[in-house]
Amino acid sequence: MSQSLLRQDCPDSAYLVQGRLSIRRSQAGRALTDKGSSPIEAVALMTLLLLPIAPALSLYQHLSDSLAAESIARHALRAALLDQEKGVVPSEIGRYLEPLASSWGKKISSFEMSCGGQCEENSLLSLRVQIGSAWAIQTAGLEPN
Amino acid sequence: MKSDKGTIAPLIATYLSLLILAIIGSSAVVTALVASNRVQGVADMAVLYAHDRAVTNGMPNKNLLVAGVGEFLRSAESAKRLEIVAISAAVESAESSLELCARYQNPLGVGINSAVICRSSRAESFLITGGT
Repeated sequence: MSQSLLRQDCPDSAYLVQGRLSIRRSQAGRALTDKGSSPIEAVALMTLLLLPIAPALSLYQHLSDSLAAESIARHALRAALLDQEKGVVPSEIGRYLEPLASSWGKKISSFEMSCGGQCEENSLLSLRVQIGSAWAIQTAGLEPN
Repeated sequence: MKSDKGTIAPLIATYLSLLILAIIGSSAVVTALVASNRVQGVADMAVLYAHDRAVTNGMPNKNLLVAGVGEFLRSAESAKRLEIVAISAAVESAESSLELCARYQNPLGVGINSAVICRSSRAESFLITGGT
């Protein structure tokens, strides 16, 4: 008599182990069965496995925005300072930002230029650039005459 | 005979621990990349600021260079998030150089601070002549 023949005649949870009928039970003593839906199990497992993709994509986006903001702020500030007479505060910083943002394929949410104290010769000029949720700030000194 | 008795809990626990490890690892990499860019930016701007104020006839003065770097790092907004660990400013002929080691406060706010990151930067003045 083969095991497969016996299993057809037995309940779902019963197996022939070394010639004796065995029923799987939980630790609480309840009989365990193999009943269920494998598509539902597959969907549940896939959901669990694919769950980290959303935060991973978000993290990648934040990294990309951060690196772009750092680079754009640094290069725009330097370009603006070099394009002016020594000691003069650049007025139209936006025109330096746009080409840099285009080259990164990013859209600048906001930017702000400020001086540490009064904007005068030898003072420090800061440029804050925001892309998405990431922002970066770079500071440079106005070139002395 | 093989048995399929057991619990799925260790599998889930292993998976979740791998997930947490991956998130922490990714965050650390992101922090390090952003931090190294910020430190490089600050080093570049600091050496330019200090060199501009230390140079006379194309030759920088080391004492003025060191003072300029210190002044920049104390005042610059971009250096506020950095915890400066070491600064080394030097002058070689007409070239000023700065090596800056700093720790960056994590921008993601998940409590992981970056390791010490060192970046170097150099500056030199050029006399631009001519033009038509």
